[in-house]
Amino acid sequence: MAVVFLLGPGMWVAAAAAPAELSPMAVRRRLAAILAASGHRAFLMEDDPDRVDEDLIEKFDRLLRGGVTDVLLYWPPLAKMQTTYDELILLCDRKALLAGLGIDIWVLHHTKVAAITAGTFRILEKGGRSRYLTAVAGLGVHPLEWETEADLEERMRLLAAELD
Amino acid sequence: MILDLLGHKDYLRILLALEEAPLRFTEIQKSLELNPAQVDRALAFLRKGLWVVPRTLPAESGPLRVEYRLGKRGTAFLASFERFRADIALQERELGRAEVQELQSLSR
Repeated sequence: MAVVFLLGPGMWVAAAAAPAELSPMAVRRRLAAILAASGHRAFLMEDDPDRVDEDLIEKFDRLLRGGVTDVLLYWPPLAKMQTTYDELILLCDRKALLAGLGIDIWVLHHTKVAAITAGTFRILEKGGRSRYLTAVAGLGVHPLEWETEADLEERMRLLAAELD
Repeated sequence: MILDLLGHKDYLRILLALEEAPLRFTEIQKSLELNPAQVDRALAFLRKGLWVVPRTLPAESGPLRVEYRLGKRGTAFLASFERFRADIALQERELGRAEVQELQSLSR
């Protein structure tokens, strides 16, 4: 059974331009439910209660060190990413820890965000938005692309079967 | 999906090649003598079904190269495919030598 730490945005940039009916956080909860239905334990940082005298970085570390086997980053287009960027920086800073614990990172990215062409993973988002994902991809990640909501769910069901 | 896989020789050859060890795009291209468009098309299909699992190779800077390994689905499929190949070899007289040999010749 895998223990999956689900990262990613919580909100869309603008409700009017939302590419999906559910918020990104609700999508992550749905993805967690798909994993749970296959016997894995999957959780969002937002759903773990804050502890007294614990800041966000300490909370991130506690969760990461709590038996996590896989980190799953959900990366849709048109989402507010600032909090996710912070999480990606934290991941990059914990490169040795991730390697030491043998934690795999899966990047579930929309086809508008990144692509694999001719054997190279390319970030399609421009400017500062690309920097963080590029840095995380440099750690050695498993990119999984999706285009539609149905596609995303199918990819998650396949991933649930792939995880140990 | 499985019928699509069976219907494309390139897809099968790539899965068989990955049975030995993880490979990068150019390694697949060279070892199987395929052109880049063939490899790109095949890997897009194989990634989508998680028959293969891509992984970016750790890099501080420069292009993020991708390596492929067999996924659990790919491994399970090959186990069935190898049993099919072994069984079909026993039916050569009825099926025809050329057809059976074509299937047997698919290798790494």
